[in-house]
Amino acid sequence: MNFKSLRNMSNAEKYSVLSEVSRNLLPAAVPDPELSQGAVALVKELRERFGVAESFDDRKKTALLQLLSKEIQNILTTGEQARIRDIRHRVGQKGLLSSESYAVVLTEEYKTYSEGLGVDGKLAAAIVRKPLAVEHLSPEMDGLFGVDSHSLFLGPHPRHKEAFVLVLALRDKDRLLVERAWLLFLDVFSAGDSPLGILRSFVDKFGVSISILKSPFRKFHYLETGELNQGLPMKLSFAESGKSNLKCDVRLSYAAINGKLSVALAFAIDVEEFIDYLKGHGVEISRRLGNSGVPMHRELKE
Amino acid sequence: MVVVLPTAFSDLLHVCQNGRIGANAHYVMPGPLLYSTNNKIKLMINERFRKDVHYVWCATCFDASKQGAYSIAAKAAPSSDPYQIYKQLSQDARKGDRHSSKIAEQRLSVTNLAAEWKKKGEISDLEAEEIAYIANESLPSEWAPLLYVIPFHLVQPRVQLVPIGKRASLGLEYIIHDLSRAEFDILELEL
Repeated sequence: MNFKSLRNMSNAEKYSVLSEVSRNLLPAAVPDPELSQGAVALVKELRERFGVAESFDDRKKTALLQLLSKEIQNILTTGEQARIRDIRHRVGQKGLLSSESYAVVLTEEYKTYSEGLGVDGKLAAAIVRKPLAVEHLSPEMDGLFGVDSHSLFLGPHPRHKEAFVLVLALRDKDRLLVERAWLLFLDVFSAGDSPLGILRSFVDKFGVSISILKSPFRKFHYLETGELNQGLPMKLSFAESGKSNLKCDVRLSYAAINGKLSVALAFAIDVEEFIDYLKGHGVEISRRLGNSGVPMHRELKE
Repeated sequence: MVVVLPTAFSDLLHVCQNGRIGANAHYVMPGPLLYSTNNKIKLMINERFRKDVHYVWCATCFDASKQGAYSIAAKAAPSSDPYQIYKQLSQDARKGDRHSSKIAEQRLSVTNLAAEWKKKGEISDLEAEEIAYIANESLPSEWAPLLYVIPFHLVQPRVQLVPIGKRASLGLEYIIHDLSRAEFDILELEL
């Protein structure tokens, strides 16, 4: 929107006038005793444009407030579409868009590891769009840069009592790439847990201990750093599971930069144990493990 | 002899001082709690861009209409009464009302703050762009209200009474410039 009264002003001057007029329109703001010449001219122009003599009705006031807000945004961002798209991508990457504003994509990883285990893709996507609880993990806030940014979503399962679906997605600009979805009952976690807390509880129950960079064996690894030598030294603890081979769903999210390894998230789920648990709750499992040329789950031998 | 001043008069007396509430102010002290209606977007912005430091307006009671007729707290205008703000914002956010004047006020207020913070060098140019984008493009449902409940004793030295000329009514209103997240609890109400 081009305001006649703001023409020939620098951005700083424009902002000063818009801010002055805004302050006088907002209820919890301090009105200026006397408006500047620029603000008087802008108010006059707004009155003419909105066709009002004295006060604005509610609908016109809303339109006016939105117009002023957009105008200040345009000053801050130049208003170019490419720039706005870039800002949207940054905001999305940080996990600051609403769930409904992201595009939801079901990945091959999701199809490989989660499909057929009591949650279908449609349900997983619906929970991402309208979650009961959401947690955007932000490694950069904890000083870990260059690693994946994940989001966790929790929603009720429509067919099972006291059952919830926990969805793990990767943020990619304004897209959420769904990687896993697990059907969980309240015997795995407590109702007051955060989504990250629920993931921890789930991994504690069905996970296999792993060691990364010679760290002590633990089931859940989150935001860790270390020196990287050759390859990726990750080991699974077979001894603890009491099995000589495991069908595992391994999720290792890391970045290797300048000889440093940063782990955003790492865990390995014993899929057979998880499937037994689901069956125990009467969940129908519509797939079998490792029955195709491409293994559905990584088969790991000691 | 004890002289009891009408609360509105003692309030005016206090305003004549420096606007800051101290232990020795000649003033009827607020109750043990302060109430402030905010919204999810503001909370998120303060958490992510302001190092979890919150600037809030607050009142001594949640619902002015439930106060005694002669209480100063009953004189809060709807535009500064936490309950009225909460109710309006809650309705508009739930309905997804794109023509809500309450939400439009919040959008403009946050956009304005982004420009102010940038001007003062408190945030970068990129951060100002991102805040303005969030303020203008977020869905109405994201402006759902949150009630901050603030124990007065935690913030007492930093609470500032808004001078009467700058308030919407005679009702008492306060500003805390630097509320930390550990100093308040958040409630979500079904209204």
